[in-house]
Amino acid sequence: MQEIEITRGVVRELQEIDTALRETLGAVYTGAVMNDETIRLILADTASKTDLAQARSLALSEIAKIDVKAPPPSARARQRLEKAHTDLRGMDFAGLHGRIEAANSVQALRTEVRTLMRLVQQMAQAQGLTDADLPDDTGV
Amino acid sequence: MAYTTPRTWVAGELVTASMMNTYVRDNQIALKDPPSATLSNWSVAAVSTTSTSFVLIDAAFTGSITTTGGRVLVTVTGRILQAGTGHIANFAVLIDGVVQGDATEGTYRHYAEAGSATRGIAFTFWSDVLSAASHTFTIHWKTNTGTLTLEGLQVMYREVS
Repeated sequence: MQEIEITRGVVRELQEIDTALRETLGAVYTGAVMNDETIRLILADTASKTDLAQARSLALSEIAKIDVKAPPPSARARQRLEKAHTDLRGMDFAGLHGRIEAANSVQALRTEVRTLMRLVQQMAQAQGLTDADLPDDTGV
Repeated sequence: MAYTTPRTWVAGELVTASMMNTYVRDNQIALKDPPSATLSNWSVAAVSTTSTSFVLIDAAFTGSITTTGGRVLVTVTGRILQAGTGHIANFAVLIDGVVQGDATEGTYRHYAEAGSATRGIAFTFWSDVLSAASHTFTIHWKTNTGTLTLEGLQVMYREVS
């Protein structure tokens, strides 16, 4: 393993920089370790000098983007989870069933399928199986 | 203080002060205070990782002890926060940079059965016989996904032979 140490700065949670590093660097980036002062970026032995430089640059760039006034990722995940619990408790299954039965066009069915997708996604969130949101283009 | 293999006393033997000091005093001192290192982070902020390969938790938990040819007992206790169901936390004891036990799983594995929660962890490791020399002990960790957070960690390395 190769390590790069950077100052933690305004980073509250590793997810604030980890996702971008993983998406950009792929398998050569294995993750990071953060204590109260520093962040160590961990790269594979096969990582080149270019990879190391890119990791440092990208991490610093991501840190610069952090909006400290916005909730950290874990708080946003909690908010999504609480919303999922609330929505699921208030779910009108009979009404959904009725709308599916009454749908008489592709457009009408698409609307109900989106509702079902949201239901499945919220159930998965509620069970702790995912933190992922549905993509925006689902229109739900 | 080094431990000396106890002498087999012979009937009628003259017991000298030197013998008493070596085989009684020094051995008692050695047994009372074996080579050890205890490291805790009760009061410092949590440490977190997203690493999917074993990586050093923190240099603050590195212990170097000069052993006398026995085995070393490693104890680890702390609290971990896993962010979701199916998240796996692995911990490994390294001696002189070598992972002990299974290279992939390490010494301890915790699977999060349900949701995000803080859980207590505790495990021990009993080393092979080590050469009488200075040895470096470290604790490494990794997660299969998401962020793994650790707080209230205490680690002890002690020769027990």
